[in-house]
Amino acid sequence: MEANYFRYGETELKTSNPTKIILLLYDGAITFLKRSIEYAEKGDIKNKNIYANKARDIIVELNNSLNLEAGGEIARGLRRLYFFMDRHLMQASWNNDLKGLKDVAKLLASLREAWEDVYRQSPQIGSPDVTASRGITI
Amino acid sequence: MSLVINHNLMSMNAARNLTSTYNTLSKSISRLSSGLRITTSADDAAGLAVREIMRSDIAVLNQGIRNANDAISLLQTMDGAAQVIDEKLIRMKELAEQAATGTYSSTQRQIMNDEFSAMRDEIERIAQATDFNGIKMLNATSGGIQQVLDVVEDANAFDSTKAFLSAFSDFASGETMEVVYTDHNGNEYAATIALTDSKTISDIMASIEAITSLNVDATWTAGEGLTLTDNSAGVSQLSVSFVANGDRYDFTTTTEGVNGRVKVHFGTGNDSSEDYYYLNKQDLTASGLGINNLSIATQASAQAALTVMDQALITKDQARAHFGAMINRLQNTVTNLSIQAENIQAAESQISDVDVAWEMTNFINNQIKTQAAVAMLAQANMIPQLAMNLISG
Repeated sequence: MEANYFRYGETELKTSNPTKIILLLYDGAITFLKRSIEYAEKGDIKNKNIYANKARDIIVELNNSLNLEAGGEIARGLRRLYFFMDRHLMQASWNNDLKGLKDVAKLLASLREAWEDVYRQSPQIGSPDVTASRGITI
Repeated sequence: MSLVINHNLMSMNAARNLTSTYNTLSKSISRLSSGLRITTSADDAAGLAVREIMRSDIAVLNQGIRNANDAISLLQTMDGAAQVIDEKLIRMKELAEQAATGTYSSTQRQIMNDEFSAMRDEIERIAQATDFNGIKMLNATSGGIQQVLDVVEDANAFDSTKAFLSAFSDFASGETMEVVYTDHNGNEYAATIALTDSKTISDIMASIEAITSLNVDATWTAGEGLTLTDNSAGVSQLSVSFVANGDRYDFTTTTEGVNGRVKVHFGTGNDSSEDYYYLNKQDLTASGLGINNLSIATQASAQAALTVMDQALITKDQARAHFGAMINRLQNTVTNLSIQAENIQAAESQISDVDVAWEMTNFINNQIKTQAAVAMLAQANMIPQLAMNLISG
């Protein structure tokens, strides 16, 4: 299912507008979180953990790829938020706390909306339909 | 826990590949962000190197966090199954209590016994079938922990376990074999086994078992080697060495996760207790709980069953206590690893709760929109290949 959802060629990603990559990472994290929530609701601990880990890996990578020197207040704020989301996600997953998982998904969705705005302002490189109804409601 | 990265060809290769990816990335960002003044790798080679080292440190820490999280899920799965076993045991105790009074007919007692047996079968099934990625933790083959030790090959070591056996046989009368071992508290001990011509391999095994502070069962299987089963309750690794004729033969665990316990590795090194824990397998099968031959078909047997059920409930409590304690311990470990990651990545003060996170998110959302160019730079150290791997999950 993910394979179809995220069917993007390597070349496309490498030549993409970096903001598009950011949007794809946010989409991935939100989708994996949603899946984790679904499994948590079913009491499937194993798959809950698998998808929470996938979402977490993306948040960690977003955190790793911050440039604190060039990104100023935004980078510093994002760093604090990513760390918060990382911790909050893990604790929610441990405790089967669905609200906690949903909180993280909502925080990501809010930031994603801002990045989508940046994408619209930036020169369009790559396929133009990237922002088409990718908003994910939790 | 130290963060020293040892000399490691693979990690050096990884770092080199990362460098080339970074170069490609910074070039493409420079192209895309033309007009913006950004620091390129050429302008800031030292800064780039620091970032790479940081990335590898963070990657190691995060792998540790992932391993610990997997172990937590494993334990939660096992504890969930143990909880179901718990409910069955309580129902069995109720049935035993009911059958123990004299006011029921033997037919009625037989019906109770049928339910009692069905519960026991279900407990057996749960204990045998519950697994997490193929790892079973509720049907340990024996109580306590067990580890199988095998010969570690080194310059002086035997090239096969059979050679080890013949080496034992070759010892001349009057020689001694020294057994050096480290207990669960890290204390090293030595014991001496005298060898005589008449001693057989099973005599030597018996001598090893006779060392009370070592507390192991020793068996020799031709073609397979020496198996030491650790009978003590410690959770750290037990190491045993045999010293004879000036040679030292070290034995170490080779079948972790198969027999007795599961190793969870989260540290950057391989030092006992700082870098890994062992999760002890438990025996919640019908025989492990001591209820496999239990019947409540008569009043007398039902009365006897009550005591056995109490003991079974204690055994189950101990198993769940171990799972619970290890879950807590691993959660603390993850928290510590997260703090290390935050320290390495120079995070400012932590966001304490979700309300603060919302305020911060609204603020940053606004900042990103109004300063799009800076925002792009803020998130600029992205590696497209890595990103693709992450989202293709």
